[in-house]
Amino acid sequence: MARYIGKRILIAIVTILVILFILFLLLQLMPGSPFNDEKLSAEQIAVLKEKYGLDKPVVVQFLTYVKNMLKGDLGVSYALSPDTPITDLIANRFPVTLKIGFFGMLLGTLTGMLLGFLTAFFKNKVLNVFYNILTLLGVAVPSYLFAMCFSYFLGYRGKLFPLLYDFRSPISSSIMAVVAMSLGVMAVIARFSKAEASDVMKSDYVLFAKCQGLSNTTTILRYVLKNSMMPVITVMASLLVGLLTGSLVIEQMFSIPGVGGLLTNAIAVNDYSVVIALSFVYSVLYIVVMLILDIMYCVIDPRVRLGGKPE
Amino acid sequence: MRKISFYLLGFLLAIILSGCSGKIDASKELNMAISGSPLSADPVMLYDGNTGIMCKFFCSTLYEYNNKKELKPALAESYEVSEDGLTYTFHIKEGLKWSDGRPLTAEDFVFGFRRFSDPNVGSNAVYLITDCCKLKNAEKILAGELPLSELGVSAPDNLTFIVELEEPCTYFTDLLTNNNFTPCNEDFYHSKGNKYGSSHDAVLSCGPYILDRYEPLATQIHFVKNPYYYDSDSILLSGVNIQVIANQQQALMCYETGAIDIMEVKGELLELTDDDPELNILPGASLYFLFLNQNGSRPELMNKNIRMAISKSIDRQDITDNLLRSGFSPMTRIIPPGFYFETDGTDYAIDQHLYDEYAIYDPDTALTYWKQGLSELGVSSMTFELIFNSDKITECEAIAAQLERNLPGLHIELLGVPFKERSARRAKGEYEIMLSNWFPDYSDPTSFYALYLSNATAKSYHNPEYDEAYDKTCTTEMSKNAYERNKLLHKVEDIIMEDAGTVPIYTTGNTYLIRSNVSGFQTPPTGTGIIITGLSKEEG
Repeated sequence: MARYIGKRILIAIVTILVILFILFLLLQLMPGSPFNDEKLSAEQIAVLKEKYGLDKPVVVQFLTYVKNMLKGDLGVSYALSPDTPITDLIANRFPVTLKIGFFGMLLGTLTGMLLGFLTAFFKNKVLNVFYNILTLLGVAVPSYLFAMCFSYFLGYRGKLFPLLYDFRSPISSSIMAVVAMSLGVMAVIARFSKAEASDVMKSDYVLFAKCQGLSNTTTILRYVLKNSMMPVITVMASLLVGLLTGSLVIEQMFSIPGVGGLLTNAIAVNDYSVVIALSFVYSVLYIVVMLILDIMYCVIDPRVRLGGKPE
Repeated sequence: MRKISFYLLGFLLAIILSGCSGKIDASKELNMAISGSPLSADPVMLYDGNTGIMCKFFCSTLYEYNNKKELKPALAESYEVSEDGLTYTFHIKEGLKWSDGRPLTAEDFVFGFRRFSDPNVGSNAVYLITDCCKLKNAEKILAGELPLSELGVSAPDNLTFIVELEEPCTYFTDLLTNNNFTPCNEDFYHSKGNKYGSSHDAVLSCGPYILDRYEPLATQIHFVKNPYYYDSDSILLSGVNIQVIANQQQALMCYETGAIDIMEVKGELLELTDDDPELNILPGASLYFLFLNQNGSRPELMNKNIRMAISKSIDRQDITDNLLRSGFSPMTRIIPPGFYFETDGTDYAIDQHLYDEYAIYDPDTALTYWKQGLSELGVSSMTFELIFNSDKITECEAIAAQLERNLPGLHIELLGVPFKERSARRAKGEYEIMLSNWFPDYSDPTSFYALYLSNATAKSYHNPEYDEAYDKTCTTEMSKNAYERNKLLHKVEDIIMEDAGTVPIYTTGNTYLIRSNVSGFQTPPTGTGIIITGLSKEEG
């Protein structure tokens, strides 16, 4: 087990370094620099490049960056918010992204589970059609399209919710973003819940429980729900990371001061340091969550094979 | 299990409650939309329009424009300039205070100017003190050759601030309206370590409002009235909320639902809002023009007849009337109207048709010039690449179509590139023809004329006669005689326009949707930034 975990951590570290290097190369190949501007003279641009070490070879820049990163220093922004430490930029904005992502996740999970389990337990035709439509839309339609529709119909036409995030009324101004983000989660969770619950309903131990004279409700609450939940919980982890990293357009649309806007702005102005730092944070988030899930799998289910040969 | 549920519930409540901040009645405040986040709340880093708008609310400088667009003393009471035009002595208003109540003195200006010139601060706007004016020793300090203490600024007492220049600068007080010249309190600055300007707690206000909500790359910025402002009685709003909305359509929806009182309208939205009675076109001074690269890489563009043919083949009126619409006006000269004024108060560029002979659309004359140019060069056709910002494709397609239609044998290859790419090519001189634009930094014709000096960044025009005429406008003698200087300035423009050294196309006004209960919203003569004195909003 320890060997397996060690191997996975090593792969994760190498993956992150490779991602960083590729990002470095790609950004170097892009035209322009963070200091392209009509009013900056060549001398001023040279001074700024020297100040931030951008006049050095790419490999030197890369190694310096990795060295600083290991010390917890992600560098400073060159162009978006000159000289502001990137850790501050992320720290300021991450709580907002986290809050909106968390509530999107919570709403999506609760409604998804409700829909999935109800459809599995009550084999009702109308409910099934309702389930099919909602899950199909949730999976197929990107969340920003929902956001646009909410924005137009509920915000602009209906004037029911503020069109933009407002610190003076943070809850009501976040509702449309949260609901838009939750619909994709809802669809995935509903499909998982329904599939798992249907499988468990057909299992021998449920049949045995029923034969023992337990009522349908007791069987569902005591055995079916509990055993259907585990796969759903594992899929939730990766969905949460997806929500935190994939809300770029929604944050931009509702002017939410989260990390999504930070990334899109940084790409627009070639602020290399911010783009790389955020890509690093996103990669670490994904890789760590996946690592935890893998480890959890083999802790929870000893049948999971480690390294391809039986222990 | 119960314990876990308890903690989970507590966590949820904490998240919800952390979102419940104090309520402010948004309807009583001015709500303004801007298109992007400001760069910093440190005014020396100010370099773009959005940061400029934010700084206007909480910063003040020695001189400012009032709502009648007159240049008036702000934190200064008055000033004197030495005989040689190199030393400015500013008398600071008595009793000035920062937003935390501490006194604002001449020393704060010394420290503010030094920070602006500090190479370690790294402001992108230092061209204001090295090119637009030459602040004594600024260039050497920025190059690391002299210490900051050698900068030509001093404060002999709390109310006197002295600035020394290396060359006379007739528009110096105008230049000082830029908020990069805002004072900075040294004690406060050091108390914030390296965090100065990174949040609302890390700056002091000396302007009409106090910055009370800001974070780097904020999407929402909030101000409240500054009770310590020297002219606080004239500030009519209790608070201002600036909302960053990148998407213009989203901004328009916000405006229509009443969440926003003021928004700038650009691009395709101009067509949608054309008939809106609340659409206001405020004078602007940005110039869109063609750089014709005359550095020798394309000998054809060194030929005056070819340049003249290009200039006279473009139907500017057609482009502004039929393509660009509200707020755009055709230009056949460099200086836009309402930008600079003669000594008797008349508009310097009142005659917008002064150079029509060289630049007005006239396909027949253009053809004559073209044929003459072709025969001088001994060719029958030529191809040029026209580079532009990708979002200017419509204008450039129209320009290319007009040129190809009116000048037989001319082929224009269009190349739309991102802004950064275009800027890089411009700085390296790697272009043939380029659609460029310029937003002046100060209200003086040299702000535009400097673009065409032989040593300018774009290096598009090389004419010793032009350079010499320009240099004459910057002498001590001329700094004391505005009338004569203006005559020389006209000569500078005569030289380049008669030589078809540049091709002005159009100027833009600032188009804003301004709610009818909002009044006093103005832009300064440079067209960039805003004037906020007199800004008010009636309830309802």
